[in-house]
Amino acid sequence: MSLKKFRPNDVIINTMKAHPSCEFFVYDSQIYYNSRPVQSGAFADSVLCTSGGTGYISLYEYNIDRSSGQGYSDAEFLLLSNPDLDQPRLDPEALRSNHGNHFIYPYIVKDGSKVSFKTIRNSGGGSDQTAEMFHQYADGDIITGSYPMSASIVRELWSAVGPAGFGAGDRKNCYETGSTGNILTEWKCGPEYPHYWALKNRLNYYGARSPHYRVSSSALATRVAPAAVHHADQDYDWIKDQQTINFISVPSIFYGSQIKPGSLSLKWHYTGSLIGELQDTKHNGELIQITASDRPGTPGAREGTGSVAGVVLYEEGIILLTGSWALNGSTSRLTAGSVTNNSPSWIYFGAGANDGVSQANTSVNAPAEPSPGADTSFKKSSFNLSFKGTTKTQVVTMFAHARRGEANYSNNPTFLEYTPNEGKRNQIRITSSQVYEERTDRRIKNTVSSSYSDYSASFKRQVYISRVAVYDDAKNLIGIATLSNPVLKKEDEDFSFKIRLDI
Amino acid sequence: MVVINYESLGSTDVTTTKTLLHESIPLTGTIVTGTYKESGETETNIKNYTHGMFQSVYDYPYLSSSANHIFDMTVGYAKSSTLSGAVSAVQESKKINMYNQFSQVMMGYTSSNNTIREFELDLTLDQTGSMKDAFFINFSRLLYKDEIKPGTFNMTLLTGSWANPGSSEQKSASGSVLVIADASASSNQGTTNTLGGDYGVLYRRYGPNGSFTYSGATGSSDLGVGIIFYQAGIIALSTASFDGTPIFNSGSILSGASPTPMTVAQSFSSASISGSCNALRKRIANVSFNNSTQINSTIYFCRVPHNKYNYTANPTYLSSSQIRVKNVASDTPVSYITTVGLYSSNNELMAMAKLSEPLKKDPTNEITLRVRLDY
Repeated sequence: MSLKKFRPNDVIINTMKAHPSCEFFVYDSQIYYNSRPVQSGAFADSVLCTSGGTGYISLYEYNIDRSSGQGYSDAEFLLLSNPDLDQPRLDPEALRSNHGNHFIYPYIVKDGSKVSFKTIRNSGGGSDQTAEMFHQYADGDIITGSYPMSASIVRELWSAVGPAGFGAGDRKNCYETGSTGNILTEWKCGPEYPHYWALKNRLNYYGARSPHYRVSSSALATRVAPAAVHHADQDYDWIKDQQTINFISVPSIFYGSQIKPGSLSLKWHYTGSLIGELQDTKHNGELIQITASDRPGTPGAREGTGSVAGVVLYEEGIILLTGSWALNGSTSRLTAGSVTNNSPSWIYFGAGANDGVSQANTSVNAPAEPSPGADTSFKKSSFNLSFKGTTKTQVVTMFAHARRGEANYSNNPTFLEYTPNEGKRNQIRITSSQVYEERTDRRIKNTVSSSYSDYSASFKRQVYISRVAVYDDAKNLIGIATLSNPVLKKEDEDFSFKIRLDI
Repeated sequence: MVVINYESLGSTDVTTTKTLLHESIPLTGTIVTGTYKESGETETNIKNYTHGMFQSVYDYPYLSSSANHIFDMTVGYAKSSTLSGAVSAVQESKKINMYNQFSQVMMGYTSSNNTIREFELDLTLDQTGSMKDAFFINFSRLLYKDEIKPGTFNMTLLTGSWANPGSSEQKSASGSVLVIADASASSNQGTTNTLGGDYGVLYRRYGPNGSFTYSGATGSSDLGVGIIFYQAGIIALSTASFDGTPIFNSGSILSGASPTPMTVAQSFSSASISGSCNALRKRIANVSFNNSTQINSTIYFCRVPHNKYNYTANPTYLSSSQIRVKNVASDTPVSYITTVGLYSSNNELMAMAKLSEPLKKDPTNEITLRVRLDY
C-alpha cells in the first residue's frame, strides 16, 4: 500500500471560538438551566439524580434514574426466597421488584501511591471539616467516593455579622474559655467570608479595567449610590470590606474559558414585571442598571438607572453585586431566618440559588403575623441570569489530494471482474517456494455508466473513493474519514478531501 | 525582568505508578425489564433492530438523551449443537453465525485442524465440557471500563415458569432462584487466557450458605453454567441454567397434535432471537460487578534545597522596597511557595501544580514536593 505525504500547506491547525448561550432562572429556591424541564423517572424525581431540580449539570450522567435506597444483596435474596429453610419465605417476584436501584459509586484501595478522592482530606485544612482524612485509612482499606457529581450556580450573601459587624470583611470572633466556660480572652481570628478574602487580590488586579473592581477606591468624583455606600471613612467612595456583597459563582463547565464580556444580563422580575436589569454595556466588567421601575413615590423617575450595581469577573465566573438601592416600593422577605422585610435590591438578587434561602425560612413568624409561614412575599421575586460563554476548540484541518493519474486503483476484491471457476487457486498463476505470480488475464470491472440500455460503455479507469485513512509518521493508522457517499473519481480528475478533526 | 531558575529533574526524581480505580455497578432486574413499559408490553428502554440479530438494553427510555446503553443481548448455538437443524427453527443461520462470531473472536481456533474453538464451561481449554448454545450479554464499555474486576461478578436469575419466574416449580436446593458468580476468579488466579482475554467460569451457588459448584484450587475442570470475559465485558450463559424450567418462553410450538409451551431449548431453536432475549430479561433479578480503570501516573519529586527559593520575583513580595513577610532587616530571607511549574527541556511551561496552602521556605529548611500527574 502506498501512502501519500501531507505537504506543509495541507495540514492547518487553528482554534475555533464559540459562544454558547447559558441561562439560569431562579424561582422559589428552584433553579432552571436553559429552560430544561424536570425529567422524572421511575425511581428518582429527576432522572439525572441531581437534587434540587434542573439547574444542574450532571458531570457524568452515569446514575440515571436511580435511588439511594438499599436493596437486598444476592445472599439476602437467596436466603429470603429459599423455600427449604424454616423461615418465612418471601416471593422472589416481590423481592425482585424491591431489589433497590443503587447508585454506581467509585472506590479505590489505599496503597503506596497515595491516590485518593478529592473528598478525602490530606491535611487538617479544607472547608469540609467533617470529611475523612487520608491517614485515617490503613493500607488495603477501601476508600469510597460518590456519584452523581453536579455543578450549578451558588449564591452567598456577605453581610455584617452581629451588631458590631461592618460587612464582607468581617472576621470571626474567637474565644479562650476558662474551666467554667467563662470567656477569658476574645479576639478576631479567621475571616467570616473566606471567599471574599480570597478574591481581594484579584479584585484589585482587575482595577485596571474599572475602578469599580477595587476593594477600596476614591477614584470617582461622585459616589455611585450615596445612600448605599456612604461610610464614615470619607476618603473613599467605597470600601468593599464594609459593604454587603451579593456573591454569585458560576462553575466554568457552563461557560468554558470565560464569560463573553458584555453578554451578561441580570433581570429581576417582581410579580412577573421586570423591575431592573443589569448589563455590562461598557464591556469592562461594570454591571450597569439599564432598566428600572418607577422610583417609589415618584412616578416616572427611574431608580438606579445608569448606576453601577456591581462587577463581574469574567475569567472566574464570579458576579459581585453591591447595589443596595430599592428597585421598587415593595418589600419582601429575602434573607433566611429574618423577620424584617427587605426592599428588592441587587444585594438580594438570586435569593434561593443554592444559598439556603427558601419560602419556608423567610416566612418565620413575626410578632405581628398570625402564624408561621404566612408571609409568601419571597415567591414574588424571580431572577434571570443569562450570558454567553467562550469555548476554544483546536481544530486540525487536513487536505488529502487525489490528483489526476493517482488513486485510480482499488484492492477491493470486487474491483476486478468475476470469472467463472474462480477459486482461490485460480487467481494465482504460479506459486512455489520461489515464485508467486497472479494471473495476468484478470480484468478490471468496467463500471462506466452507459447512456444506452444493454450497451456497455467504453472502458475507462475509474474508482469510487469511500474512505480516507490518516497515518502518523510511523505509519500507524490513526484515523479514518468515511464519506457519506462514495465519490466517483475518473483518471483525469483532481480531488481534494477536506478532513476536519476537533482536538 | 523576572529571572527564573530551573531545577533539572534527574532520573531519581521521576517515577511512574499505576493505580486501579474501581466502580461498583449494580444492575437490578427493575432496570432490565418491567419498569419502562408503554401501552401494552412495549418496553421503551429496549431497542430491537430490523436485522433481529440482537437487542440493546438501556437504563432509561432510549429516546431520551439521558439514557445510557448498558448491554446488548443475543443468543446463538453451534452448528454441532443438538438444537441445530430443528424443523421449526427460526433465524437459525443468524443464531449459528452469532455463536461462530463470538467463538472466533473470543476463543479463536483449535490448533489441530483450524476449526472454530467452542466455548467451554471449565478453565481447561481441552475441548471437553463444551457450551454449544448460549445467551450472550455484551456489557457497555461505559460500565465495565478497562475490565470487569475478576471475582466480583454476581448474577441472580429466576428459573420458575414464564408466568411467575420466582415461583418454586423448579424444586432445587435454592428454590427457583439461581445465583451464579465467578467464584474461582481473583486478580491473580482462577482464570484462563484466550484470544479474547482472560475468562472465568460462572459457577452456580447452592443454597444460601454460599457454597459453589467449584471445588477450590484444584477445580479447574469443574463445570459452571457460563463464562465471563473480563477485558471484553462479555458473558456467555449456558442454557443449562434453565434446564429444569418447564415454561421458559411465553410462546408455544406445535408438538404432536397440540401446542406446548417452550422450554429453553425449544425457545432457542423455535423462537426469534429477540423472543429468547425477552424471556431471559424477565428472569434477571440482579447483576452486579465491579469494574477497573487503570490510572497511570508520573510522580516528580521536586526538591527545594535549603539555599534556594528563599526569595521571589512576585511583585507583591516587596512593599516600598521592603520584603513584606520580614520585619527585621537582619533576619534571614523567607518566601512562601505556592506553585510548582514543570517545564520541558526547551524551557516551555508544560504544567503547573498548585499547593493547597503556601509553604514557608527559608534557609533553615529543605522541602521535597511530590507532584503527581495522572493521565
